[in-house]
Amino acid sequence: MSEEVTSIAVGAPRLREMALGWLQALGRLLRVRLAGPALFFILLVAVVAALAPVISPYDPLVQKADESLQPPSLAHPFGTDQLGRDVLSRMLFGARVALAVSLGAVSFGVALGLSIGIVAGYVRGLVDEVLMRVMDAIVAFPGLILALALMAALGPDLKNVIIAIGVANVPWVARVVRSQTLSVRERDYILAARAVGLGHARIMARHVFPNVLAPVIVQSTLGMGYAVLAEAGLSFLGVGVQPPTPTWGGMLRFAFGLLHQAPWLSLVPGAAIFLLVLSFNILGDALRDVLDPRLRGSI
Amino acid sequence: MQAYIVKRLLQAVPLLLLVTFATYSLILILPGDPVLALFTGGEASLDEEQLAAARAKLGLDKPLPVQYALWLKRALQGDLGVSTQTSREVTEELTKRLPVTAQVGLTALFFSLLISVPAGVLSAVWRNSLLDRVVTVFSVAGAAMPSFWIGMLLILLLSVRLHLLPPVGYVSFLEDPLRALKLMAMPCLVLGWQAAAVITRQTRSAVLEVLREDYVRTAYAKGLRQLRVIGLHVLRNALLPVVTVVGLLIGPLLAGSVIVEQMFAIPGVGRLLVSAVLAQDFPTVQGVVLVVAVAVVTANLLTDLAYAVLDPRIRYR
Repeated sequence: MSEEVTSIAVGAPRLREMALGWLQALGRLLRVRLAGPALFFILLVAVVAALAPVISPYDPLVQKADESLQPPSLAHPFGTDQLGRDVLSRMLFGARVALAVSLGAVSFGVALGLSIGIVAGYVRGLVDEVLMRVMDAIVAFPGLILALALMAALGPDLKNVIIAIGVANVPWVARVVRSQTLSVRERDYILAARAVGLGHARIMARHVFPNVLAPVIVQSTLGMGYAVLAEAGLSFLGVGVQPPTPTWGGMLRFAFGLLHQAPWLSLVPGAAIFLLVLSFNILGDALRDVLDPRLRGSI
Repeated sequence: MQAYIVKRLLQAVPLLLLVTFATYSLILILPGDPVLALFTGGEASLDEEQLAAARAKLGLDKPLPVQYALWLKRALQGDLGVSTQTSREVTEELTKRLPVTAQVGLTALFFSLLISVPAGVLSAVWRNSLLDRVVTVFSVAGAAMPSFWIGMLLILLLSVRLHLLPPVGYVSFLEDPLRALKLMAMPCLVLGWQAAAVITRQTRSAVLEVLREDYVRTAYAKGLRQLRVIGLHVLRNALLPVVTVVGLLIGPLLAGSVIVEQMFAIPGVGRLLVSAVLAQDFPTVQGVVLVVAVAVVTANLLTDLAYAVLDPRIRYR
């Protein structure tokens, strides 16, 4: 009898099948319009960020008073800033902060949101009610304002920027995961796992978790775009990662004061933020279309 | 209907309590002694005796729930503490600045509705037309552009190059309406851009959905002209979800005003928040965050109620 039930429990999707599924999904993804270019741009920024120390023509921190505010030239393709620093080199290093913060913030949001969503959806009842009301309360604080308040309390620092932006991601992931968990927990393989006598923690980790991932991937990709924007916003306001570390938002902050003298300073960082966020948004939408057509337009 | 309103109001109470508690508990994550942060912006200039007195006055020597209850009681009486930056009452500062933020935010919302609802309707009705494509490109790009970059590009174009508009500053509508409009044009464009992107997308998809309904087909089959079908049957149903979106935009608009006010030197709540964060003026940060969160919860509540009034189906769910 117990053998029979075990074989039903194993009916949950297996790792190899899942990997194959993801590969097929990638193929379908690249056929969605603009998803290819979006993915390419994101990978390009990632490579540039990783190789910044190798490929950047100058040290992004070295100031040269006699070379300040030079317009774009062969020596400085994007010109120099008010302290004579090479804008291209600062852009390349700025990509590191943009990606580090968005990856960190999204991971933070996903780790917490996934756990909260799975527990709320699986356990239900009072636990669900309390957790979800807390999520509602977080949503009542607009993202940037929540981030500013947290930065005021935590102090400006890369780690704190990641937390401040990541917290806003938690409720969105938790809500999506919870609703997915509510439907997954009624499936036969969960029933079977329970019948075999698996503990709740194990069922949540081994059987619910892999089956609620698809919408989380969509949500995370869209969350990356939001995080890039939020990081740039905090840096622009002067409360993000502090100078002299180059950030795209921080570069715009100083370019803003120099709009008359050096308009080129504001074009490149702004365009980079825009294209990166746009790429994440396009990729997120494409992933949604591929992974779960039912979710289209609902998030 | 009354039962629905009562139910919804009762649901808002625990949410408001949670939101106020979250705002209060921000001081718990402050590094060091919260009393120092609340009184001096983090600089130790009080001796032990003064610290103890201050702690007792704020109830910080009591257990957390009691501390929170005392804080909430004072907040409900309009006492949000004193700014460590300006030594003025936080409540006084907020009452002075809220109308400014409201003026910019509501003007931005008004103009974005004026543009985005027709744009959304037309791009749905003429699906896949040139207009639809232009509208889609604008709304997708609008969601991805950092608002401060849009602002910088607008200043570059309209002030620096074309000298059409004064770059930054603020005048109340009541003082000098014409100058106020000129000064607010760019901030409203920046703030309204993203709102417009969201409303356009929502309107477009709502209209597309309604266009597929049987009663629309029936209306066409009866021989009604398109304008009448759209005006009478489609819009009345399609604009309902748009109401929800407008209510949900209050939060993003308030967040957006932080950046816009900072850029265009507008003395509103957003600018207050940024200067308070930079100066570690914690009572002010708490005050602004509290007002914003309560405003968002209230706006969501009003949206739900408005929706129930407009769409009878909601009440019976």
